[in-house]
Amino acid sequence: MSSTVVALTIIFAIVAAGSLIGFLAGSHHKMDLEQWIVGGRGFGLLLVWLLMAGEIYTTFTFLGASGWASSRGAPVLYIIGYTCLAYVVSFYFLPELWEAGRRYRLQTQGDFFQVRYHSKYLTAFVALLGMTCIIPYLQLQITGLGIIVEVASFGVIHRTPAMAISFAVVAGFVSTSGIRGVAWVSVLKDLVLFFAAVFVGVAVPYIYFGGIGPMFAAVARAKPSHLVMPGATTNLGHAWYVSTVLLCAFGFYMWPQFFGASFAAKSGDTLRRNAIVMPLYIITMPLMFFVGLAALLVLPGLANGDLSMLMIVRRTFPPWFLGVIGGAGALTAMVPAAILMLTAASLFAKNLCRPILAPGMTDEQVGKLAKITVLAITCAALASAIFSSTTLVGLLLLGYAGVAQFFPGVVLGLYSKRATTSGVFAGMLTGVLVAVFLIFTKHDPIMGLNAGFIALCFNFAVTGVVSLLTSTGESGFLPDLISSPALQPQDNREQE
Amino acid sequence: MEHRDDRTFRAKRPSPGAILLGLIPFAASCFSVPLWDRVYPMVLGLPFNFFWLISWLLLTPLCMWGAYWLETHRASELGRKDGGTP
Repeated sequence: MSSTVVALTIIFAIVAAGSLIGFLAGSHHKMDLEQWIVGGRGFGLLLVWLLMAGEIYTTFTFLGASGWASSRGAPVLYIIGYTCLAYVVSFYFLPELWEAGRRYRLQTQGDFFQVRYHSKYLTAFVALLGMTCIIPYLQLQITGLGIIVEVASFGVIHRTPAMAISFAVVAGFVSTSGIRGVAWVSVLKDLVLFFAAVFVGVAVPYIYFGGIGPMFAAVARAKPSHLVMPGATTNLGHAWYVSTVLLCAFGFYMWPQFFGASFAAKSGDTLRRNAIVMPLYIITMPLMFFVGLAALLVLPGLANGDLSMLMIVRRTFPPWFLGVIGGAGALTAMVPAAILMLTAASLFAKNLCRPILAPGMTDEQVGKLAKITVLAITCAALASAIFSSTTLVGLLLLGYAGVAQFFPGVVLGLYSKRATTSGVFAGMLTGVLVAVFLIFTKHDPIMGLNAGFIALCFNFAVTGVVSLLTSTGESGFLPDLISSPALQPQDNREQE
Repeated sequence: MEHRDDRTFRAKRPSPGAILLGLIPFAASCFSVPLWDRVYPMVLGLPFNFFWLISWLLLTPLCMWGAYWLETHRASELGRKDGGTP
């Protein structure tokens, strides 16, 4: 019982310290909706980058990656493949997106679709789809927090109350710290998690096997098929790997929170140089895989792979260390959850509520309604966390199948005059319907391919064909005078 | 050379050389998976597929640095002042 108390106390202390930092850093900037939406471009460059770079250190990395390495094996390699290639994709289009953002003062993903396609209904659909995709991502963070509390309490607190506690922690964190606060806590969690990852990733294989090489030799002897695709699965083979890597590499910057954050960069060139070095940040990811593979042999018969990181830490190290790791893990769930909630709020307020539902509402009313919406979204995430048994990686892939459907509209919108509103609308609807149909009828993967990727292909095809049929050859960007009449397009330096 | 008029914004397309350099990581760490998804030979104690992907985390920045070099040189030759050039 006392080890439970020690572990939980330390987790609580770390969470409290994180919340305090968030509160202190954010207290002189009141976090209302205006601060988040309008504060966007004025937000410090360093902090924006810490938020964006920190994305790869979330609960997904910490528990999900090690979990899949343990339960699925080699298919987990797709995570290295896609994160690296996502930065390659961003190298080409992100600076151009930033340029459009500067010209038309874009703040959210919905804004981009508004100035490019001039349809408030398409914009509202984009906002709605973005908010929907945020649900599984939030669910992932809540599930992760629940796992941490469950394992650290040595099973005293069961998963469902553990997730309810986590939900309260996240909600409290969001309401006490400003976005600047969140960014500073993000720095703390990156540091703690980086050292935790390196230490555990090196120490665990060393303690049980005498090193990383001997550990792989042992895995190769005991379960050779685990180390090549499809690993422990029957349907996650090479075709799945290629289709999933492509889906996620294209989908990565389509997440509303990253899409919006890229507008806050100092220049397009900053984004481009950042894209060059970003793959180096993924270097700690393989260490998570090592922990999961060690758990495969050390803890045979573990029912839920997502528990492998914490269970092996609990077995190997004293309770106070489990507390440190659990606390670090809790921060990696709280920070992304806060960012996701704020993104959902800004999409709702700016692109859905104001233009469609209630044009005459005051800022205060919109803000209030946005808060209620975010609460509803979070409750949906909590409810589905309680009732679903999807793995953490499975949840993220579900979100990717959704957000990747923005890709044709964004890329064709940037580079082609022929992409039309009806084309993009038809393509996006087709993509979403195909993805929903395949995933919810349990046809993912289908014929060895990721269902989201199939949906993306349909999306591209329909967008292309309908655009060509409806094209007048000259569709392009126009300043959005409906939702922000005060904002004219900025003068470009070229014009001078 | 594409023209950016002052009314509507149009994105610049990357040069073929820069795209080609970006396709190298795609070919190496995505499309060629049947060629490198194997345990042996182990390198530095890692199964070959793990070793291969980890090395591309280091090699991808090299490719993209090359693409960056091409893009900035092309931009300065065209005498551009706007985005994408330092």
